[in-house]
Amino acid sequence: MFEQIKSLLLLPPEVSDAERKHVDKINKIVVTFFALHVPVFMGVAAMCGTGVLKAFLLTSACLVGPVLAWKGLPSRQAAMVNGFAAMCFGGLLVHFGQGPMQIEMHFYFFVLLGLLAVYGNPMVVIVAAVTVATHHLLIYFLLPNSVFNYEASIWVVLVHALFVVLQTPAAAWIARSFFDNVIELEIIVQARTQALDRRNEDMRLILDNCGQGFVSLDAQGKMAVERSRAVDDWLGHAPAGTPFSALLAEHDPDTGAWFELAWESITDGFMILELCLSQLPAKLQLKDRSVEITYTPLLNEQEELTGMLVVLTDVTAAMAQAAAEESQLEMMAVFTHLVGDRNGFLSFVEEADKIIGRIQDPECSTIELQRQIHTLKGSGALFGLKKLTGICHEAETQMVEEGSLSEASRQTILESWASFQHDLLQLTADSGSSGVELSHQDYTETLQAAVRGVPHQELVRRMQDWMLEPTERRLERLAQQAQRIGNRLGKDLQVSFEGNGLRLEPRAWRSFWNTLVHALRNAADHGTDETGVLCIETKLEGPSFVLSLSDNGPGVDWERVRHKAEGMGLPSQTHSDLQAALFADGLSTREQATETSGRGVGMSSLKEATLSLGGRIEVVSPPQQGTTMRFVFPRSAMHGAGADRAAA
Amino acid sequence: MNAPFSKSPAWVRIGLGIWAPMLLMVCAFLLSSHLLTLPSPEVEDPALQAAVEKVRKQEDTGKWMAIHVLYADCKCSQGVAEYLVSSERPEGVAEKLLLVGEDDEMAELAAARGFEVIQTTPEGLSADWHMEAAPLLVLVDPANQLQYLGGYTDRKQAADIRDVTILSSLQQTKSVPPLPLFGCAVSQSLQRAVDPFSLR
Repeated sequence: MFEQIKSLLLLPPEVSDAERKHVDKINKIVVTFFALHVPVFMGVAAMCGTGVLKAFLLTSACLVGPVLAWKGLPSRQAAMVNGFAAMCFGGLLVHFGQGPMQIEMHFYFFVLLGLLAVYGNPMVVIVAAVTVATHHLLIYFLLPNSVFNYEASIWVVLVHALFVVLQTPAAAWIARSFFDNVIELEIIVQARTQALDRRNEDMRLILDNCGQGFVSLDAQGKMAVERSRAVDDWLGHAPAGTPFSALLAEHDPDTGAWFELAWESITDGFMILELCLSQLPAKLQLKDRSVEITYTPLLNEQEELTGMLVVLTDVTAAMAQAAAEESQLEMMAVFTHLVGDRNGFLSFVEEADKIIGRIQDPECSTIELQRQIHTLKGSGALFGLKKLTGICHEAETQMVEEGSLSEASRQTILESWASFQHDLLQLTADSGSSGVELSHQDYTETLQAAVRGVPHQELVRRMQDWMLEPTERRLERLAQQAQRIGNRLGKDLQVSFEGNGLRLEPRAWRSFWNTLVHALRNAADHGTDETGVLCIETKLEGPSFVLSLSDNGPGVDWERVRHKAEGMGLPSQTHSDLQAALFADGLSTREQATETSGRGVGMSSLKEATLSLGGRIEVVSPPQQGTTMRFVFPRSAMHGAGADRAAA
Repeated sequence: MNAPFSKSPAWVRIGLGIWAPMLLMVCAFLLSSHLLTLPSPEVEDPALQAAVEKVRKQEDTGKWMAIHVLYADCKCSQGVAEYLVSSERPEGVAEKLLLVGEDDEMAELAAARGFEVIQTTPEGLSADWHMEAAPLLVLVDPANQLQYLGGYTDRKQAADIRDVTILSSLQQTKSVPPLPLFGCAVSQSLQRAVDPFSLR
């Protein structure tokens, strides 16, 4: 209770600038007001006959205190002196106003007590009240009772002051309320502003250290002043009101233009917001980091767009991690192939190296480049090199759309291949393809032949065959590739293969095998339905070595081939013309190319590889009865004779 | 932080240290004249009794006698005098104005209204009447017995002067307690006691 009263009466020891200014101002007014008492009291004394000179002297004496305090005391203490003086002036007024109006002169005390609340300091009111009480008590103790014949009780004296005292708590309460709610309003606002600033600083600390960039845009796509530090660090500082598209354009003009276009579609309001949001750029590539951009629309109660919260996330590490994981998976695939089919894989690498050499050659024509890249893509996919496959696909797309391969894309392919070779070197550092691969069956048969005493020429032939590559292994790899393609396309393909124990000279046939994959992909992609059947076989037919690839799909749409051929100005009168057109550059029955097929360059590469071995291609495709492609070669080609011929 | 009082200039501290208690004393003394009453002589005082008998004249025999003791320099006495000359006076009462000091206007007006004006000095009032303050009302019955000795009002600033009411009550043989004496000290000794600085 006492503490509460104390805290109510006593102001905080610190005096704010606002309080000092206020109290100084009031002190000045009060001293002026008191100074005016001198002539007024003289007038009152004149009217009441109580002595003008006496009024001048006593009122001036009373004024001395406020003037001294005003000039020499701090504002709060001067205010208390004025509270004391106010009551003394009241006493003088009551005295000089003796007569019929003397009772009314007492109103001065009550008015002044109320007015003193304007100081906003309860102690000023208290000092005034104590002054009244004290000088009432003084007369009781100072003047001898013996001079009076009328025994005035102390209670009579106290009652006289009681009403003044009664007013005091209310005036003090008003003064304190005035202090708390008006004079110190600046402090209250300052304290709340500081609290708000602290909260903002805390929030900014969180935002600045969460590793993400936050910035809000207004309805025109312009940036607000408030943003997290990451935004400025990554994109550079832009003043408030800068269009976000302009800031993006500083780093990537395409992304900036893209954002501007997509933002226009948002402000147009013709399309649904979610769709428009999905069209905004989601990634930004900076010099040293990759940034993912997400957008949260800020809507008002009418669901109208008032702004957008843009969140930037540095995904450099995540992307590097993903790339590393992808690379790891590729290496695993490479390792698997090296273990399972070392010579075949190294053969692919050797062939791909030649292709890279062609791609590197500035003299290489666009169509040649297209073929080589397409072949590299197909072969890479065969061995699970997804990264290389993707880069080749993008390069192909660029060539189709722009008519040529940019130097940047060419370099990307070359760098990707160099990176792959580097990784491969780590796996194959201590060995090459110099070994001889011999199956247990071949070894057993050769051994038995030797035991039986077959002529040594036959033994020599058999041992020479060891250097040839079993077609079975290639066919198995192609079957697996077909199966993977089927899985990717959501098809349940039944793939079978049969090598019939035949072998081929690996170097001479490398190109053919690499391009055969195009025919296989066509068959898996649009040659079969969801439950298609593929069959790959190598066999001997009389003097010929035949590789056949069959599917049970709807067959070749010859009318479409004819239409396409006519569109390209190719002969299309006979079935033979159509077969030839099927293997022409740029002809595809697909409207849109995919990673699997549709470029119209793969089959021409296959035809070229077939012809280089002295072979030919037969296509048997009656409507709705599947398609069989037969690649027919002379037996001599099995040992690379055709290749020699072609090379010659 | 508000600077402490002790840090203020010395001349300010000294000045205020003198000023505040002095002003408090002044106010206390001024207030005393409004709140506290002045002394009046005892009813049984023989000197007073003798003085009363002395002022009764032959034609006053058998009448109630009212003696209004007023001080020419006293504002309160002037107020009572103005009342006396302007109000309706009771019939059959010998009214006398014992005027302390000189105020010819008051004396003439009172005489014109039928008051017998007896002039004296502050010293004479003290010596002959044993009175030291005014205004004072003295009511004496036809038998020359002092029936009332006191003030005119129950409060200093009251405009309700009750002399006629008091007289009427006494004539009806009712007991009337004396009202306090609010007014001015007449004798120098009393003036020194109640107003040592001559502030009033």
